[in-house]
Amino acid sequence: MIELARPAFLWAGILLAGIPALLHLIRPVERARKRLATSRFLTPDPKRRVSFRRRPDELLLLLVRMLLCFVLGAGFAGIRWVGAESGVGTLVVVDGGRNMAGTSWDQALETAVPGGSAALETVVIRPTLDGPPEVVRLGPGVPDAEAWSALAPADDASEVRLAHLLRALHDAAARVTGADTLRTRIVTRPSWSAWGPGVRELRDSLWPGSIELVIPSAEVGAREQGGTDTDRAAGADNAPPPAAADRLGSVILQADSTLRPRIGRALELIGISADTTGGPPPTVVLRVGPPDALGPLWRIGPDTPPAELDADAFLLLDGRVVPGAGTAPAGTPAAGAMVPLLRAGGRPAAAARTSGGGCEIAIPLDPSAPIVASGDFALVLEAALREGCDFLPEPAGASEAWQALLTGGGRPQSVAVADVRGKGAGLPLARWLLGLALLLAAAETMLGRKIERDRGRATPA
Amino acid sequence: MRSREPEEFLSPEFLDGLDDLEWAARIVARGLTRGVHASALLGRGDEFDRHRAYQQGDDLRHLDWRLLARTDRLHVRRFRETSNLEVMFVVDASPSMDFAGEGGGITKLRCAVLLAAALGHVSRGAGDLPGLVVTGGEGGEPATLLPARAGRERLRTFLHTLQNTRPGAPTSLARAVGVAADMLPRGGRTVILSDFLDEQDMPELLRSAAQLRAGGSEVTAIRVLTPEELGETGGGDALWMDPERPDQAVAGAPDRDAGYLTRLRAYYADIAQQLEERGAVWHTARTTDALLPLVRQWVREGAGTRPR
Repeated sequence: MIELARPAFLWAGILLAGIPALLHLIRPVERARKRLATSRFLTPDPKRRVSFRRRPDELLLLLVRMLLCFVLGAGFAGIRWVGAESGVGTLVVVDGGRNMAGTSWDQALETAVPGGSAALETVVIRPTLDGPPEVVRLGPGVPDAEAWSALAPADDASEVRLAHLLRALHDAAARVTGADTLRTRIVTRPSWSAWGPGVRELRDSLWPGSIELVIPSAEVGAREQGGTDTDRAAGADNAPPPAAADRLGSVILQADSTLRPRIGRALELIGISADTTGGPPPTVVLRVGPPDALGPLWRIGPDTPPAELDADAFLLLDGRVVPGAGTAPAGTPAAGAMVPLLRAGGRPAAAARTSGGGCEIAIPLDPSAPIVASGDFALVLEAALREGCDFLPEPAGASEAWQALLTGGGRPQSVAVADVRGKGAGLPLARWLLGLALLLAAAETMLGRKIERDRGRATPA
Repeated sequence: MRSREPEEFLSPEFLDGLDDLEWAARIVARGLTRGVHASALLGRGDEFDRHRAYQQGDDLRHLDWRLLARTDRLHVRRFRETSNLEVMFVVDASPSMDFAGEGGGITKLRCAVLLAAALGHVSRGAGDLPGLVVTGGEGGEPATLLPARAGRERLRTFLHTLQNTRPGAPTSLARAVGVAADMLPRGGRTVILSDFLDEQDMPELLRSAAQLRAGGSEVTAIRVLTPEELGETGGGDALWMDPERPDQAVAGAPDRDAGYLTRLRAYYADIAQQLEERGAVWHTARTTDALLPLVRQWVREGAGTRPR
């Protein structure tokens, strides 16, 4: 099945292809001039000075020109071959790591295929002692209960990171056939350290669409945050941060410039959305800069004491004042102090501070906050970061630099399922067509020159 | 062997094919040195001519004793002398000869030059003296004049001059033939190589040919044309221009125009007939023909017509 991203270009190409044909039909061609010493013996016919008869190479040139116009139109129309598929299918990726041990695994099957609904493919990601995790493909349909139990993770198994789940999702989506629309689902119980890196894998998985994050219910006890950031990142302690024990938690993203347009999207994928029920909204702290230069995590939320906010409605980054909603008050905050970017209804809608060689921007994702409701917080991030923050590429092995703080496993979060196999899927033919157009243009040039050469071959002595 | 490539001028293989040829004249030669052609003079040649009654002073070695035994009368044998010929080649280098046809290959002028060179080589091999007149000079005069002379380097000069022949201005072929005739005071052989397309020049050319024959010369006319001009291959539908009259283009297709072939054949048939009536020999060569077999055929045809 052919899909067109911009059908208007194809129509334009078809119309353009008609122009050479029309010119070919209405324009006579003067005969080639050739030398012949015995020409006086020819039967003279003045009307035969021009002719509508075409040589075979002139017909070929016409065909090449028409094809060139059509191919250009098809190429710019974004034509894609998506195969003869239809319908909606479901793809499920299940976390087979330590976080899913115990009752979580029993619930996972029901979560993966609710109501016995069959999936096009179910994939279980299981950790290995060393190396990348194992990918177990269970094939289409509802997984066998016995086989499912055999895959239950042990209590001492390692964790499977979000990046691996997302990669498996991406690979499985590319492999699955039989549907135009693909609903993707990750079944996992995210933990502090499991949702490590990386932004790059996350970015790869943003296309072709969104994912549905389903977190099975599990007991959540109050746990104390302990250890350093590094320890937490190393997975030594699976406890959530204490400040977010009753919150959905926060996500810290190490951003780089290519992710900027999709920051909002990234947040959705992590599972933070307006669908959260109960409890205070999570906070997103966007950390930008080299990870080893950043200080301890700092986050704000609805309960952040105002005393910690040193200024009102302006941004101070690296000692510079950035125009905001107001003017710099007397007593410029010290460098490094967290200052709000915006305020909404008396509560900080976003705040930022410098940190080492970069900056941190914290945004509490209060669904009622205008910035969140309008969906413009990503734009605010961009604007603020443009003013003074430098984007750095995520260095390799930066897992300790960003940590997922999602807790509260038990409250399913979901985002809208989008069509992941729509216009973005299929085989893009545009670049092949544009390459073909280049070849046709070269052929047209050579053929046209040959015909002109043949016409003008004979010259008077 | 086809001597078609422009770079090849009388290759060794081509010359080997000419070595055994003897182009005997149809006229009585009046050259100054011995050759292969029958001479008007009687003397001590190898060819017996007739008996004559013995006269005092005759060489007794020539007495025919058998005739004496039969007739009781003394008779001596008389032999015919052989002599060489002066051969003038007239090459038409007008613009119409600078044409090779659609398929490429050699031009008519090049073909004429190669034929002249081949026949000149054959002539020299028999002791004849080749000379050359090439049309296309300034003011209607020939561009090249090379008298028929003896000499060891004469053939080399003749061939070198032919090799460097280039197309010239439109000039009268008849004028060049007249110049060649002036250079044959004792008669000889004139070989005219042209496409014979100058209709206005034809009456004068025929007169020149008749004068040459009357003066005891042999005339050979070789028509050189391309297959397209003969309507044998497709030139296609085009606007055709005469190189000597470029303002008169004619639309048509020679290979599909029945009227063209009829008129062309009628024109050349008339020329051939008139030349033959005046004692000339008429040959045709295409630029795509293998030249060696053509030359051999012409020479052998000439060998069958000894002078009487």
